Formats: sequence, structure tokens, C-alpha cells
Amino acid sequence: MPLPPIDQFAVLAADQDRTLTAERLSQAHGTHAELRPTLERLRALPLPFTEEVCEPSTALAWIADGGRP
Amino acid sequence: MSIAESAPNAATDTHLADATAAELLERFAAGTATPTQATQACLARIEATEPSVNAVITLLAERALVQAAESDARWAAGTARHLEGVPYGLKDIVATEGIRTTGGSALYRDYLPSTDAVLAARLAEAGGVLLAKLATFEFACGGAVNKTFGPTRNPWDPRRTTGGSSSGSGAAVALGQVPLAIGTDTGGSIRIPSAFCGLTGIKPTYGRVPRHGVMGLSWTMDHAGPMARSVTDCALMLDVIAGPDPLDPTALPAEPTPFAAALDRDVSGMRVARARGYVESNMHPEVAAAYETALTELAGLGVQIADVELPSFELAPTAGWTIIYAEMLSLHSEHFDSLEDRDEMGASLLGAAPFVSASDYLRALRLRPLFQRELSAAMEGFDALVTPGMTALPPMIAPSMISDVGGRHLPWLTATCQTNAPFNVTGSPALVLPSGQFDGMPLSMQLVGRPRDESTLFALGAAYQRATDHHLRRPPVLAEA
Repeated sequence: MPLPPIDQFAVLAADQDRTLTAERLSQAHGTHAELRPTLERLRALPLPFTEEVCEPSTALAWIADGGRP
Repeated sequence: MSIAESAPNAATDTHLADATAAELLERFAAGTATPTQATQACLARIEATEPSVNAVITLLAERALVQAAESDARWAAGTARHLEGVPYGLKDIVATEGIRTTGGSALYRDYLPSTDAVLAARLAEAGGVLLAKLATFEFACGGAVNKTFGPTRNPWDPRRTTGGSSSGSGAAVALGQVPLAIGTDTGGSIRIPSAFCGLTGIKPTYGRVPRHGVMGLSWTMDHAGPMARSVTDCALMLDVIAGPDPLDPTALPAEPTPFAAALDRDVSGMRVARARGYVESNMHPEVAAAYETALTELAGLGVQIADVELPSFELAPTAGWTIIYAEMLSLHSEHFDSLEDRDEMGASLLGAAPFVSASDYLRALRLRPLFQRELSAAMEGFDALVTPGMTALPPMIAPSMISDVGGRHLPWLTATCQTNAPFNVTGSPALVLPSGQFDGMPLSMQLVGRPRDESTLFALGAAYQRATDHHLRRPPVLAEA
């Protein structure tokens, strides 16, 4: 899915009651355009639903347990 | 009190400013130097070098000399504590009671916290002498050009950045303004300035050092840790600031053995993994060649180095940035309306933050275990992972900095995040240490450990520093002075 056009970025900002200059909005759009290819690859990675628990706290448990698989 | 008023008399041993914390403690114990003399020496070094680097935001000379005198008395009385009388600096996003804590920002120029950060309180209780609050990229996420306090310059080449965001900590420790400093690291901000300034620095395991009282950027990715001129000093400092605290629910339990106990551990026979893929890509050829030499030196310790693969790590920085943007917006929501008053880089980052969806943020958080498990699998049978500490020399100071990776140019954050950000995502401990030079600038190697196993990194790093002298090289400006 392509990155939403910049006018949709403006709508997203307005919906959050955030004000950005045109230059800053354009810069933000450019930033996300650069991230987009790897973001799409991240989106394509499978995440479990019925098997293991994979939640944000899973990462903390890995750290607390000393990195045991 | 001005720096001049607090300057040492002619009897001051200015070489004390070049001593490590461990060396100072030995001399205090032997009675051949006092904390007051060490503090005066550091103040003199600040006076001599500060105009060329701009590492200090708030100098605490008078207060430090009072503290040092108290430490003199403790050494005389035999009641010295762990870091008794050792001068240190704090990145100015670490809260200090009654001492302004600016965050490197005009928005907090006069902010006086009502309490110390947990780590600041621990350093004070260990007898450390707080000498200065040190420069930082604005709120730990701005750029090298701090428009409120000015840029901090690299002591090795003032045209270049120290890196950041712990910019003042990097320059101050490199020059001997202080032997120890605290940095923070969300995507490399301890390790980048340590690498660029020729220091040893460690991003400990996530949760190792409580974050209470440290201005947050991204609670999932934020770490605090030591920056010093030796592995030994990093271990000494981490022993003081590590440990659980009820004010930080993510803080880890204490380890049964002090980190410093690992410094003399035999590393012969240890196995270190090397991932040649993403983390070694896009390197300046001279930096890459020096890294190979450093690996040969590491192998010379009797360490076996073998290749592993981390196939998904190319995606880790994007996962990290997705998390940082979302959490930065939450933490800095009240600052959003003053976006254009901030430094250019900080404004550009916060300006991009509203466009991360909740879905992508949560996916990135749920993908952290994927990267963690991949790292676990790769490190099976190994004691640590080695990577370059940097892929290019520090860029020239500019609002938008560019890294030269040898005939090609990358945004400096892209170049630096490559070796750093993946280990913020995993929460792994990561130690950087000097490992060579190119074009008159220090180069660096990184050792990554299993979570909660900083000790193995200290053992490997200390053995490397016993066998090499890269960490002893100092900025040429000190010889000229």
C-alpha cells in the first residue's frame, strides 16, 4: 500500500489538533516515505494469534530472564 | 564562583585530570592525591578546554569543591565510599535537586527539579563529586546544532560533531574535564559519542539503571549508563547506579556479584559471534579495514570469532523508530505547539511523530521478541556478539548531518543507527570501546551481550584494553595545551 498523499497527512494532523507548517508537513511526509519500504516489510512479518503469547511484555520477560529463548 | 575564582593554585597536579576514576581512587587511598586536588585539576581542565568544545551547560565549581573537601575528610577518616571524591558529570536531562536541568532546551532553561533522579542520588550517595551538568542534543533527540546552548565540538576535530545525544559527556570525558559521565541511549546516544570521542561507554541492559528522574524520549528504548576512559571505570560506575528502584517498574533486580569482579576474568577460550550482514554494511572502507585489525587483536586474546547471521536485523531500526516516534509524541505532547522553537533535528523528528499509527506501533512492540529470539539463536554457544562501533567518521557539524561511508553519503542517523538501534530494540547490553584510528580520529568496536550479562562484556573489554592502547590515546589538543 502506498504512503498516503501529503493532503491526507494534513488531515491526520488536524484530527489530532496538531499544527504543522507546510514545510514541516512536507518534511514529515518525506521521512515516512523513506521508512515506508522497511515498514511494509515489518507489516508483512507474521505475528501469532493462536500459538504463543507475543505481547509487549514478552520482550520484557526475555530481558528479565537473561535472554533465554 | 567563576571558573577562574575556583581555579587551582600552582601546586595543583593537573595530570590528575588525565587519571581514570580507578586511578584516582588508588591515589586517594594511598594518600598521594586528594579529592580536592582532583576536583581542582578538573576545573582547571575545564577552564583550559571548554571554550573550544562547549561541553558544559552548568558548572558547579563551588558546590563541587565543598563536596570534595567532605570527601577529603572521609578518606582521612577511613570512611570513604565507592566513588569517594571522584568528579563526574551528568547529561543535562538527568534531574538534580535545586540544580537547573535544562534538557538542552530553551523550554527548560530555568527548570529546577525538586528531587534527584535515582541514578544521580546513587552517585552522590557513593561519594561522587558532581562537577557539571553536561550538554545534550535537545531533549536527547535534537541535533548537533543546539540553538539554545550552541553546538558541542569534537575534541579530536572541532569541525566534527561529538555525536549525540550525550554530546557534552563525550567531549568532557575525552578532554579530562571529568573522568566519568552519565549518558543516555535511545538509539545509540551513549555509544555514538563514546565512539566518536574515543571513549569507553556502555548501554546496559534495559532496566539495569532506573530511569526515574531522567527526561524520557521513548520508555521502551531509553537506557542510562556510564561513559568513561576505560572499561574498569564503566564497571565501577555501573556498580553504583544499577539496581532496582520502586520508582521505575522496569528496573531489574540486582546481580549477586559486582560488575567490577568480572574485570580480571580470563577470556581465553571465549567465543564471540560476528554478523557480517546488515550491521557491517555501508562501512567506510578505512573504518572497515581498521575493524578487521581490531578483530585480529580480539582473537589474539584467545577468543574464537565465528560468523552468524541476523537476517531480520535490517528491519530493527525501522521497528525502533516506529516505537520512538509513537512514544516521543506521547512524552512530548505538551511541547508540540512549540515545535518551531526547537532545534531543527528535534523539530523534524517530533514533526514526523503524529503519522505513526497505533497499529504499526503495537506491531513494532510485538516484533521485539522476534529480534530478541533471532539474537538468542545466533548467540547460542557464544559468549558475546561483536560489531563495529561506528561505520563512518563523525560528520561535520551541520543542522542536517551527512556521514561519508566512502564515496557515498548517508544521513548520519541512518549510518549510526545501523550498529546501535537494533540493541535498543532488543534491550541487550552493548559496550563500545576504542579500537583504532583513521585520519586522526578514534574508531570503535562494540561488544553485545545477553541481557543481564554486562559482566562478560566487561571481562572481554578489560582484557582487550590490557592488550591494546587504543583507549589511552587522547585528543591532540591536550598535548598542545
